[in-house]
Amino acid sequence: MQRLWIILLAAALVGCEDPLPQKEFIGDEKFELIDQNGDAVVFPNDFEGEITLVGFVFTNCPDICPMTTHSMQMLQEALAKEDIEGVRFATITFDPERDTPEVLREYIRVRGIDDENWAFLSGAAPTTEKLMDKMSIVAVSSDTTVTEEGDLIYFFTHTDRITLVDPEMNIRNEYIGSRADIRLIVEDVKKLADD
Amino acid sequence: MKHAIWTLALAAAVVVGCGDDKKTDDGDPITETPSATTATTLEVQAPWMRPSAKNQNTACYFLLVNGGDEADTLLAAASELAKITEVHETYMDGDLMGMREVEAIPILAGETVEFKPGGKHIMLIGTLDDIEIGATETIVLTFARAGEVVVEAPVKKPEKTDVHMQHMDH
Ligand SMILES: [Cu+2]
Repeated sequence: MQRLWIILLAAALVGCEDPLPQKEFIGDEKFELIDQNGDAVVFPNDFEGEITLVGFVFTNCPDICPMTTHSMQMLQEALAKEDIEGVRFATITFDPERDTPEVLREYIRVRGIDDENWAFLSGAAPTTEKLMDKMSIVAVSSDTTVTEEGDLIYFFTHTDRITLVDPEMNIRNEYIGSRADIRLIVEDVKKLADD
Repeated sequence: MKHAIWTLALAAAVVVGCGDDKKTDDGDPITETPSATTATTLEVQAPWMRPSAKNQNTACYFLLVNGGDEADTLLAAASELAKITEVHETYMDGDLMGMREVEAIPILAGETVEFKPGGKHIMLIGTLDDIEIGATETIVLTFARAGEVVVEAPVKKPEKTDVHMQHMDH
């Protein structure tokens, strides 16, 4: 059974003209966001001309989202090691009310993230909601409780994803963010870079 | 289900019987069985914790190794690191990832239960201070048989072996 899969996969790879068949244009809508430094960023337009890996998280997520962020950190390292330049990273929060630029900066700091080529984006809730929709990301808040001190605690049940966007603002592939296969994504990035 | 209730009842009896040394527990038939005289061999192995900025959330992971011949149950987790410390598990609901609190986690005799990214974790909600890479932080786990176990967890980024790779099906 496994052998059959390998043969099928090999056949698919050899026979396939376009290595990344998915192509979904997202540049027809502009989303005004704000990055970790408080600067205005227009997504995806400000990323046009460069390959971008986009992750979706909320900073209060303790388990899955840090895995996605860590996948992106590993991608950043892997791409640097292979001397693949010009790839940008964007982490977009689906909890913009809590994930202010200041909170995002703390998230970056404590993880030792090199954010030179990595934007952490927040914005007005209606804007990020529309953007999630556009990128087929679902985030449903759940389990709301209030602590003795009156702090509101809630989490999201959410899509776990990293999205590969090409320089022409097309989605070219999507991966499970927390369990991303770093080598596979690097290969996909190379295919786009070679185009 | 009946079995689970019986196990819980037994576990509760053990906790009552050996939880406090000041109490006399000579009447407890469970402590007189030969197996009860062997020390519990429940071990918490390879603990680690993710970093967290103050007021954010984080998770702690480890292996629960039950080398003994009696089942044990993880009943609770506590720490002075966060406003709330809970035993959680991550679950998949279709394409969505969610997280929920877990009441009790049994560790059968000879079994190892893995707390790992994307699975069971100790959830620290609202960290009272920065939890920084390179530090060692303490949490306390409470088991039905083994009682309170103090866990010293180094704070680090996950290693590649801590994360199980998986392709996305297309
Ligand atoms: Cu949790």
